[in-house]
Amino acid sequence: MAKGQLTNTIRRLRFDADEMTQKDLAEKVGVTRQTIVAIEAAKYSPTLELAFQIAHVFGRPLDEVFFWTPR
Amino acid sequence: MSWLERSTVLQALRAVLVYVWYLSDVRALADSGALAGPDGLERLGWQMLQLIGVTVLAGIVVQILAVIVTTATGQEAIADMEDERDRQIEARATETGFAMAGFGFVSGILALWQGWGAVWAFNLVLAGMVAADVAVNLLKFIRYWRGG
Repeated sequence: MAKGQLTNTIRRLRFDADEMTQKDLAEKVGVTRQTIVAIEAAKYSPTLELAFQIAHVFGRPLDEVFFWTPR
Repeated sequence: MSWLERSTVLQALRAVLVYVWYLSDVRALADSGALAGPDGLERLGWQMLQLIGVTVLAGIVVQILAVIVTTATGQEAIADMEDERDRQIEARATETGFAMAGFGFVSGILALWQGWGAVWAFNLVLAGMVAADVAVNLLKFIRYWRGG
């Protein structure tokens, strides 16, 4: 399988959404704040379902929130 | 640190402390010759039963401590605060734990085949389980520390 990194624009989207906190986002999608921290830092790749939920919170399509960059 | 992360760190410490106590106890018994002869297995069985009891008690105490520390820091100590990242970390660590426990079991059987006494074969099986317990908690701790 080709190796790559999953990056995202969650931090920027939170800022644009009235500076939504990581805790608020975590509560909206039903995960811990630490998981949001790990996703934002690209240390954890969320499941497809969680990725869609996060995109849904910001009202954006998935490919505007998450990006896969080949190494 | 989330509830599960804190609990994992404390459980790793618990595993190390309990098994250091057990191993020092068994070593003292072995040095005194109490594990030799036909009564050795009975004595070892009693030691293992004590180990199980102490492990269960220490586990309960550690969970209570984790609740107290979590509550003191103003967080909610809810045991079901577990998400997909926690489950993934748990699954990967458990995979390694099973492999180590299996290795200990096979080592015990090989020891019997090589003519070692049952006491040492049992201890090898237990050593595999001990290593698995410690490794599972340490791996979980490392993965939490790295982020996932």
